[in-house]
Amino acid sequence: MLRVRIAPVLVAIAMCLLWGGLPMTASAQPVSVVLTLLPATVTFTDADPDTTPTITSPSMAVTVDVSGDNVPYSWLLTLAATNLTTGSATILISNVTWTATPSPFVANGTVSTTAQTVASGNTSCVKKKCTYLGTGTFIFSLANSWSYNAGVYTSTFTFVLSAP
Amino acid sequence: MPALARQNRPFLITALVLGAVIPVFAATTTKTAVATCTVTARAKLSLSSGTLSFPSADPDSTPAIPASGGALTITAKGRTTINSTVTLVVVASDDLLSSGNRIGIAALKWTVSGSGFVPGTMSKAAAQTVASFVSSGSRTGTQSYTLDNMWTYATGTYNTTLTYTLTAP
Repeated sequence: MLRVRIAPVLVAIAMCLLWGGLPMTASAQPVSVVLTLLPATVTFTDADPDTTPTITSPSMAVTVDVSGDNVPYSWLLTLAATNLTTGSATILISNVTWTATPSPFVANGTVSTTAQTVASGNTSCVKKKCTYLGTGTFIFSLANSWSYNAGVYTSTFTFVLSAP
Repeated sequence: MPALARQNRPFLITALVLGAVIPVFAATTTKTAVATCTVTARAKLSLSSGTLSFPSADPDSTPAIPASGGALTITAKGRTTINSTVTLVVVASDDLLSSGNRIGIAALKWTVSGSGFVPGTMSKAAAQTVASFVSSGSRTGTQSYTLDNMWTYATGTYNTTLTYTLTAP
């Protein structure tokens, strides 16, 4: 009797292994997240603060590509950046804001040294293939000021895409 | 059939349990972009008036004639490298001249208000400091001119040109 009850369990485990359904294999419900920044630069050119109180950078295309199987996934895109620095001079990154289109990219916000959500969403499923693919256009703006000391400042913008 | 169903029950339960615990593995990717901001040295100066006038007055009752337009408001904006000094100076082209007569330019003096602004005496030989500031910024102050009044001045209308220079190295 014992042999009769155990056998189906072993068969089931074996079938799940063959099917690739064990939790130890990531392929059970694979999630692929791909993030693309184009260009991967933000450039603020010099300008007179009186005539150009806000300096805008060329637009950046941020493409989010999330895919997985069987169930819809939520995804989150965050942005954090270091202050703009050159030598001992600093421009606080809070002087930088963004605008973004379309939804689900967050329309506007202030860049911070702590991660800010700039987009979030869910994959949608068709025949057990669940995906999200979208591109947001970001424009970053710097509040211009006479108080900035001369120099070439740099900062690192870090985008993190995670799912689920 | 009931016997077969009972036999399959462990298989179904096992499959369901295995299916239920299949986790969704978190996936994360990070991309960075380099931001560059160029700030060049620049200076911008504005004066509230382009002329100064000193009316005739009795030297005894008015030994120093204030400019009729009142204080000159100066806005000095400068961008420079950190800890460098932005400097505003003024120099006269010559003494006050009127048809061969002259009033020594040192008769023109000023007082000031505003942080970084300093009082002084006009010169035609060397630029005199009106204000100086450390590092970048926009500063506003006033400069109140007076002309020393003397009985020795010949009558006439005197003129000179004052040149202000703001430097942000």
